[in-house]
Amino acid sequence: MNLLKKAAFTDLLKGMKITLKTMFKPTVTVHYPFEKVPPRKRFRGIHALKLNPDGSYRCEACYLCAEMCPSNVIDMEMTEGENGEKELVDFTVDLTRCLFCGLCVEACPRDAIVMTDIYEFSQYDIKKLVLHKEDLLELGRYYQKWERERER
Amino acid sequence: MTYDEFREEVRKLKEEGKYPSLKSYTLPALWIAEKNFPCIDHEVMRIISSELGVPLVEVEEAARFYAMFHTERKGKYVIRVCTNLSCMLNGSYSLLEELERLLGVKVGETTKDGLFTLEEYECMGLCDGAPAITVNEERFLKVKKEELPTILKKFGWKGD
Amino acid sequence: MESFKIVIDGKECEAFAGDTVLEVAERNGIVIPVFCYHKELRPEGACRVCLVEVEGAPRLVTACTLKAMPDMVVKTNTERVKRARAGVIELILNNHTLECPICDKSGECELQMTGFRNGPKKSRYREKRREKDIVIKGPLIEIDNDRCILCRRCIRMCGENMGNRVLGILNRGYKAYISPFNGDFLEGGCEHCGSCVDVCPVGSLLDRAFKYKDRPWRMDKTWTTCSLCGSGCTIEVDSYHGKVKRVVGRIGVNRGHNKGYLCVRGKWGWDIIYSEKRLKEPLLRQGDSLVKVDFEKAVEVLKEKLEGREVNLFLESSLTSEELTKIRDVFGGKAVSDSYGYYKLLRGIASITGALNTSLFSSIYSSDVVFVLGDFIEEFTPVIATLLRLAVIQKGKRLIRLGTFPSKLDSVSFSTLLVPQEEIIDTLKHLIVGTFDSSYQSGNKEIDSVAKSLRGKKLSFVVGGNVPFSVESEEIGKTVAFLADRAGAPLVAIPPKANSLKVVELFDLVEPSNLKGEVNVLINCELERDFPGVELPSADFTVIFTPFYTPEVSQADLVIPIELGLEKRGTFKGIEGELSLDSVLETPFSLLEVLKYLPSKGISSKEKQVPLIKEPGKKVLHRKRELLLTVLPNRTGWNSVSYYSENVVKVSGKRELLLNSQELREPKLVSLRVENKELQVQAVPDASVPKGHALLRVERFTRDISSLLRGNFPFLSGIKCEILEA
Repeated sequence: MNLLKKAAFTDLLKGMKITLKTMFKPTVTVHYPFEKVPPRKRFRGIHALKLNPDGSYRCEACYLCAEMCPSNVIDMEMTEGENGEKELVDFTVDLTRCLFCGLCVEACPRDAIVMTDIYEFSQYDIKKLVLHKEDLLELGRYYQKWERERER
Repeated sequence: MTYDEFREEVRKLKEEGKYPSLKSYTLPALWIAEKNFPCIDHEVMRIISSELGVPLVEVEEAARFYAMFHTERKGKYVIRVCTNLSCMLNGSYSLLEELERLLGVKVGETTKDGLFTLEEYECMGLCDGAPAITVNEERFLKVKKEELPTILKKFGWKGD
Repeated sequence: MESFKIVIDGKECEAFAGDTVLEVAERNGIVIPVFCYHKELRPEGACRVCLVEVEGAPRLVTACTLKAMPDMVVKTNTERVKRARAGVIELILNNHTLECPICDKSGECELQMTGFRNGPKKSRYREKRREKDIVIKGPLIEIDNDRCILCRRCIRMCGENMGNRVLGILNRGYKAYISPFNGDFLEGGCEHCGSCVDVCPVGSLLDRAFKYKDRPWRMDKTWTTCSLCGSGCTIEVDSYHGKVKRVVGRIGVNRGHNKGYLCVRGKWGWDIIYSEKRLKEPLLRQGDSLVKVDFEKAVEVLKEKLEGREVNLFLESSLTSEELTKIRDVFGGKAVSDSYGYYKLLRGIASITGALNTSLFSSIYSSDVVFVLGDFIEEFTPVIATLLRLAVIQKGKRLIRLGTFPSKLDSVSFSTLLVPQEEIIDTLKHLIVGTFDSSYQSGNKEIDSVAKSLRGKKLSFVVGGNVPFSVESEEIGKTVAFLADRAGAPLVAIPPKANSLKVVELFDLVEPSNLKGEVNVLINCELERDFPGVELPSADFTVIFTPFYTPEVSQADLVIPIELGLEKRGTFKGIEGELSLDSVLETPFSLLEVLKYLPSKGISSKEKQVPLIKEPGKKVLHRKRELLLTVLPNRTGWNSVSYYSENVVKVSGKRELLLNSQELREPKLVSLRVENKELQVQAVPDASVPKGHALLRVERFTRDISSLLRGNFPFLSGIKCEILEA
């Protein structure tokens, strides 16, 4: 009996039955690098720094995000600006350590640091995974555009 | 009064020897300045400080603390309207409004011709004559709204 | 002292007469929140946040002003107390700006802390917050009045403890705000000691050099010793990622003998580390110019040039003991140092006591009367002057000062004897007799009354300020040590530089003219600043170890960079025994690193012997018609700080010659003549300068002043001079 089953490939055919069943149904997966699923509204991607409508920095370097961060991702430098205001000199986000928990966003009193929907940030050079102020502000511009579109 | 004359006055005051410590002469010296200068400016305070050996800031503290010393430029006549309880109940706020209208300035301001400074004031002890007004050191009791122009004219008010 | 028991929160606590309830609670680990109270200040009872309930008292009482009494029962955490506290904090917070994210105090703010622990959960007030919007910007201190809670700590600190009274409250009631006179710190006479910034419980008084530079909690805190004068203050250096952000004293927390009090150099002079004039690489002379070389090459050249040659060693006294020991090992024990005057003073003292040493500064606290000799202690060693002042204010000591010029200390001293410079030794001799013989009449009532107040008391003696730089320093040392010896009292000789005592201990200090070596070696010094009046002896080769591009660099053959005081680890022999330095900063160059490669000369250490004479000194100064000149580097001067610190330069004074107002009627340009050298300088009449004296205040020693003083090293005081019309 067993020998007969083996000779007739019944197991294989059983398996192929499922294949044949779904073969003609519409697909549910996406062809990832060529096709992308838009992230959910509250997705936590890489960080960005928002700007005020007049172009000034929203971040006032209070260091609360860095303080909340469980894995010591954020570091910043600050100084006194020309008009006696607090000015951000550098803001670094070390993505190699980040676990995207979003605590920094919650801690921010000025709603300056946000998380974009970007999840593709692999690099060949590890140094490029440390984002600086300029990168973050660029991402912030992207985020604000995206935010406006989302609201519409 | 020039600053040099003022310095002489303070020296004279010191020579009177009324008080045991030099610091005690601060207020009398500030009074001289209040009566003779349009305002007690920093130069006056410097003179008092150097003559009495009191730290500069203590003189400024005294001058700024007391409401009867003017550290900002005041008019020739300072009109003080009491707004404490008795006077307020007898309508001193309406007097204040009327004065503001007549002089065309807000409380705490000086008229453009530099004649009058209008001030809201705390109790001057003239509660029996509420509502009370003083103009420099002259007092007016039980003032009615209608009497205000006559009072002002006494001091050279040019309005009608 | 007899103690009694009081009960706080059910705990029996030991209290002494005169203690306040708050102090007793603090000793026993019971926390009562405070704002206006500060350990170093007199209690004021203004903020009312320390309210406690006392059994038997109808109302709540402020713990900071309430004296403990036997059988008192105090409760600090009943519902009633908590509600009162929350109410007070609610009122304070009502008008306090919510700028914590940008405020520099946040993280170490007392209002923040107390608010979280004892404050209300939410405010009931809906009224608009008061906005005073008055920001007073001084050169180094900024006052943001919106954050001020009017606890008056800064005013009490400035007026009582520091004796300056620069800050005050202007206006009153709702509009009251803190300000110096006319909003100008410098005109008000601010010394920029930074104590007001230190005691401010909120972020109202700010260190402008630190403003918005960092967050307090994330910095590395290192306790080290300031190397900028002989006070030897313990300071906290805050740094982040190996970069110094600020220096704080932490009054009330600091365990050093300075108790957290600092001066402008210690507080703001740290930025010399990042000065543009900082030397980064070794330089070697090739032809007419200096070229950059690497470290190995520099050491090689140095080794070759030093081999078998005698060295003219110029030494500055703020090097650590470890470095000094190594220097002695490598370059030999003969040196010229800026501690030469101090050495003379100590030699004078040692001829009576037998030891080239001074008593610990804290020994003054166990005496009743402190006899201070010297002028300008507040300029040479500002913190020592503060501590002397506090000994009077807080510990009730009697201060008696003998000097020539009036001083800030006179406002707290029991009596002050001001005599001309040439009569100091005579006056001391009168005191020597008068203190032990009640029938002695000196002919001067003041001296007699001082002698009377010294008689039979437990004494201590402090010598400092300009005495080490006086022409008579050795003789004064002998005389005052004789007096101290007879009274059996400790004698504190305040060193002018951080490690002067170690330099005196290790090296044979000589006159500059006695140097006959072939190689000049200058370590950490600047010729004009540290050796005014000395010229570099001619030598085949000149090596300079310096942190900065000093004016001498151009004359050097080899320049090797070294580190600064804040970057060092090691020890000082200071006025309070061994003081240790620590640092988290990394430097690529180190003096010890260079010296490691040089061969040792193997000098054995021997105890220095000074012959015992046991006789008071003799008068040196005899004056006929000349004036006696005192050159005084003002409080920012005398250090690398006044030359290279951008912060401190903002508040440094200007050069002027002060003369008695009877000798000079109005300010004018005059020519100052010492022997045959002349200097044009602006002269100003000043009532505080006694007749027959001239006081030249300089913010830094420059070439012209150095050439005016030529041949007078180490003296800065008691130099005969003339004033000529310019």
